[in-house]
Amino acid sequence: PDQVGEFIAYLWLNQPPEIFGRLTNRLSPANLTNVLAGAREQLATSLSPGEVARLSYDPFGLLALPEAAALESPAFGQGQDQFASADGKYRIIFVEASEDLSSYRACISWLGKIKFWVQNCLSSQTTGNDVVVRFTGRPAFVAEIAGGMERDITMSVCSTVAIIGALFWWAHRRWRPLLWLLALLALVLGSTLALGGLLFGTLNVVSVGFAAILLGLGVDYGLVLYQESLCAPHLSARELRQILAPGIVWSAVTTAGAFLVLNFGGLPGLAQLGSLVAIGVTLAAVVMLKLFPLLRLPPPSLPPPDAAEYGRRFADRAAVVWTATLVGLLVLVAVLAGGFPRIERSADSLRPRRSSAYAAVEELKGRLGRSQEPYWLLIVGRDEKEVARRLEVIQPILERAATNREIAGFTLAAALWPRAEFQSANRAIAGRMASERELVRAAARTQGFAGNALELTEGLLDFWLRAAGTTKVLWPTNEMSRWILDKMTARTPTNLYFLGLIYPPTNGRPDSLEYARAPLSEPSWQAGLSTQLPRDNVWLAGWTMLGSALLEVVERDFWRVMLPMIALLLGSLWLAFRRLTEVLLSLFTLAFALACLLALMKLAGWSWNLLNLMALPLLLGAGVDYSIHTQLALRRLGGDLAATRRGVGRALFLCAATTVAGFGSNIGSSNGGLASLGQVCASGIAFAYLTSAFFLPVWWKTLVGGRRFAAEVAQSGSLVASRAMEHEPRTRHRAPLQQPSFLYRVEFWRLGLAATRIFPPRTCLHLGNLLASLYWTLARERREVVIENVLTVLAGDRLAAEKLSRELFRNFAAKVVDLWRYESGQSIDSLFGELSGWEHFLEARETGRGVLLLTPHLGNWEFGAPLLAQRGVALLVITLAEPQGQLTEMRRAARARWGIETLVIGRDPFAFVEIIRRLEAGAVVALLMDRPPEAGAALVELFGRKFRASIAAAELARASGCALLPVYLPRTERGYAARILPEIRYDRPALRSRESRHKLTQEIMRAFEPAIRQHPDQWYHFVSIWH
Amino acid sequence: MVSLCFHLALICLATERMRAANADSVLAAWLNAQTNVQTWSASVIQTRALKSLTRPLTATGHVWFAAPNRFRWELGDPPQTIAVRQADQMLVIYPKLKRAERYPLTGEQTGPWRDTLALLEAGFPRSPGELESRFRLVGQTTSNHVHEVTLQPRSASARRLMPQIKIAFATDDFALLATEVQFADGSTMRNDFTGAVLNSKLDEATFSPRLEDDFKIVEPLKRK
Repeated sequence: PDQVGEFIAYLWLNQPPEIFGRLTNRLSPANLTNVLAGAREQLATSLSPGEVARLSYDPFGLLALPEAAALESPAFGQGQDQFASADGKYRIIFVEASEDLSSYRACISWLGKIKFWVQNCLSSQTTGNDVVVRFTGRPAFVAEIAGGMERDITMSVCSTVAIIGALFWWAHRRWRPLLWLLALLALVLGSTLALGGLLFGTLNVVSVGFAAILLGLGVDYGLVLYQESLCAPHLSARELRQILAPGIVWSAVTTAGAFLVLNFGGLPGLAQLGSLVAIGVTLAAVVMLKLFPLLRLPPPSLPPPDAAEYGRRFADRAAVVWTATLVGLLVLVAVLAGGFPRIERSADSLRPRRSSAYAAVEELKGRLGRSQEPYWLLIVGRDEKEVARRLEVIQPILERAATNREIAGFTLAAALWPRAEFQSANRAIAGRMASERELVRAAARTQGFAGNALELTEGLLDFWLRAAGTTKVLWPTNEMSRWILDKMTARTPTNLYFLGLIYPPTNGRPDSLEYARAPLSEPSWQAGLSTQLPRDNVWLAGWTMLGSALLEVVERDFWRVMLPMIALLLGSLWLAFRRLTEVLLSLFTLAFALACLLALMKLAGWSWNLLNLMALPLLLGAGVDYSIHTQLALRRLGGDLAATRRGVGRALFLCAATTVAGFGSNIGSSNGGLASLGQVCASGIAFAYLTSAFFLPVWWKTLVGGRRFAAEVAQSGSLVASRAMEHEPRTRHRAPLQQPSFLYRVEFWRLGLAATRIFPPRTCLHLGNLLASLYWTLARERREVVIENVLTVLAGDRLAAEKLSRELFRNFAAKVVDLWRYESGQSIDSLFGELSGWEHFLEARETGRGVLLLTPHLGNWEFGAPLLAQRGVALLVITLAEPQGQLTEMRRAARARWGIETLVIGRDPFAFVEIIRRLEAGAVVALLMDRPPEAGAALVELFGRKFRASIAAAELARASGCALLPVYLPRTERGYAARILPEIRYDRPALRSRESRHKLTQEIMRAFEPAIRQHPDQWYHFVSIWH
Repeated sequence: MVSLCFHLALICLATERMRAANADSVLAAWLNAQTNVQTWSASVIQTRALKSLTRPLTATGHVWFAAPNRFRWELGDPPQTIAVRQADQMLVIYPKLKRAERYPLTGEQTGPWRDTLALLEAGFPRSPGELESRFRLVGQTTSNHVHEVTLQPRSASARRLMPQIKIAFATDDFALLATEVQFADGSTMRNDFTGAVLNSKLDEATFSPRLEDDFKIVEPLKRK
């Protein structure tokens, strides 16, 4: 009674002053005797044991609350239906922990203790055998879910590792690489967990499935590297890495991209899973590439393929495969003609499977007649008054909805919410009554009531006394009051929350669990009620709503996920093949696999749900890899199906099997959604692999490879030769790359100009560095060309050349950023540093001849023009036509803004005549010496290798007698330095012979050798320069 | 000496067994006699010794019973509370308050009103089976021609409210003399019956009270 007293006192204090006044009048000193006499009479004559019990300890009838408050106080209402079933055979016991249960381990430990005590209790009683005790509530759910997570992660990781080990052993029968592979995977997993912990703080229930998926995907890179090392034993680790890096990097980018797009899916669990797998896959690619090639073993000898055998098998297979394709398509059409797998709209996929805590809740609802799942109505406010105002608005709306049968009913215990204004009005009277406590006690004694009869009254008066001593809004604080209020209220430092329950309309249907999951006319009543409820700070929610609401989000975001994925997919395919037929074949392979998956789902009765819908982008990302690898291998091996199967086929089988194992290990997950995601992904990957391995080669052979196959076999002589060629360094067989990058286009140039106008120079520089690094990583061919170009300068040191090439790409980005600033009209004065050799220029000018400034593609040669312009020297720049006319024009216009004239060679047939004329008139003309057009090239020696230089300088010297001044503008720590070298003297009459002009060209180029050697990282040639 | 002790123990055991057998036969005889009860009425003095009161409370009244399960209790003079059990419902009437509560008697519900019913029906079991189904026999004693049976309700909810019920009846004519209910907090409610009349014709109106128009009739168990 003392506990109840506080809560009753609180409820009375929240009553309107007129109702509270009625109570205080009834309990006025003059009336106390009458009230107690009436209680005695009732105690003597009542036939209700409950009433007798109540009046015994509440002689003043304080529990007789006004109707609204009494109805909304479940603990004081009639009956025990909150705690027991109607037949009394099902009871609920609420157990509250005395310790802090914020961690899941604390929950597991506490629940374990409770279960132990209960078991002891049951076993010690003779009647205990009939009693079944179940456990539910937050600690039970936390213990169950967290325990399930621990089990899931352990089981899935262990089973995936076991499968990886078994497959590797089956394929290679070697322990050492297997152990290393597992060690590297452990390193990747540990690092990913650490990074994930750093990024997210905590891992959620869905994202724990990442571990097995990551193992399944990450191991692929190791498997590919190992398989390739066996096939190409003559390659060093560095060469192997160099050959496979682009493929692995692309694959990692695609897979990581596919998982990253899960972040657009609207489900935090999946988003975290996607991010973790993406991080892990990236780490796996790096770790495997860096370390795994160093660990390979001596290769086994591979039997040479038998061309005759191959031909016969191909013919056989082709017929079988095409027949199977047609039959398969017919079956797929037949199965899917009846519709696609249904979409489950409930949120059940988010629930744990085989959950005893959840089963206990279901049983509780069934046994207590609460099978209907209520909806939650959450009312939020900044203070008590705000929430109370909203409750006043909502209460009549719900009453009206219940009367109109729009809803079956509602529970909105508004009377339990503190009413600040009523408390304030009642406080003084309550305090006065509390101070008259002695009168109450005396009256009770007189009427024969014992001291224990007043325990409730004393508790009530204590609270009122406390109320009188404060001006704040009063909340009851004892254990029982908190227990009741915690069920429907919550308080944070900034907000207050009140929870109501709404029971959806039954429409006369049986009150079954099935119904509760799928109420009729759900959208209409929800929509109707939502329009009536206040829009701000009132939220209608519920588990049944969660499913459809989340599905709406998922459906809405589906294309946000799929479109980037499809773009990524198409981009990858195009970059991989650059041939429409092969791109289409990859897409068809993927579509065929997806159709197989849909048919399997349809036949097995699986449905799409909130989580496994996300399998689609994952399948696109991961499934396409098999078709890429297969087609590229077919290309490399000239359409040799048997060789493809033996080489990449085996690697792909291992990759697919481990990926299926990774996804499949989640099928046993305690989370239903994750299990279905694992199920769908594992099946989809398996179909993608099977289609790529058994159907695609024949499709490719028929549609792409037939003509090419014959030509390539004829060219290489044999399949063995063709395969041997595959493993030779690619640069030896590559046709010299002579075209500039496709990025050198007017559109990108405009974008760059705009970027330098918008962003500060430092940002542009960082961005440029980033893009350059990315380009260096991705553009393998271009990178190789640059390495090849600088290799000669570095005396053949390949490692140094690789390192230098990366620096060169970055320097070029910085140069282009500065150039964009210049061409966009921004000031570049601050970019210039020292100027040396100006005296050479002045000397040349003093002779009265024209001056021909000669420069290689070293540093920022374009900046020579503005530098001279600053000194009042007008310059004519000679340039070749750019890849696009628009680009040539744009760049010409940019120079013109600085007063620099451009003469484009190739456009005007009389251009050279004009240059000669200008030089003869004493003009200053600039000319690039390297990368001349074929017709104007002279083969000279540079660093001991044949190099094509422009013979135009010698020709112009012969024609005009101009002074030849070598110039270059390298980027130094203090900005761009302009270096003018001494004039190159020549015998003009001797230049009549081509040999002399060739010699002069050689002399000019030799003058640049020290400069190039000093700044090889600024010698910007992205096409092959050596002859 | 040993032999004497053995014989004494044997006699005690035999006496105890005989006493128990005798008590059981008295109870059986009373229950048997109950089957002959068609109607029964008596005055009642109800004494309630509540833990929360320093002195017991006493109320007088009258009770009528008609086989198989109808009854009417009136407490107070004039009656303050009237409880009438009909075939399908129980009415609890508060004349002073002009209020009546209706409790339907269908289904297997539990709750305070069921406990009330158990309390009022305690003295009128119709057969050993009925008594056995609702109560567990805890003990029985006979003294001064009065046999007192102590029972414990089988229903857990009733037991929580009323751990024990005692029934006292005369061993000579098996007339019901008293019932006593013990509540969980140790309080007791005792009914002493006097002037009992067996199998007289009772007015049907006794069990079908006519409620004035100004009475408010409520059904407390009806869900809103």
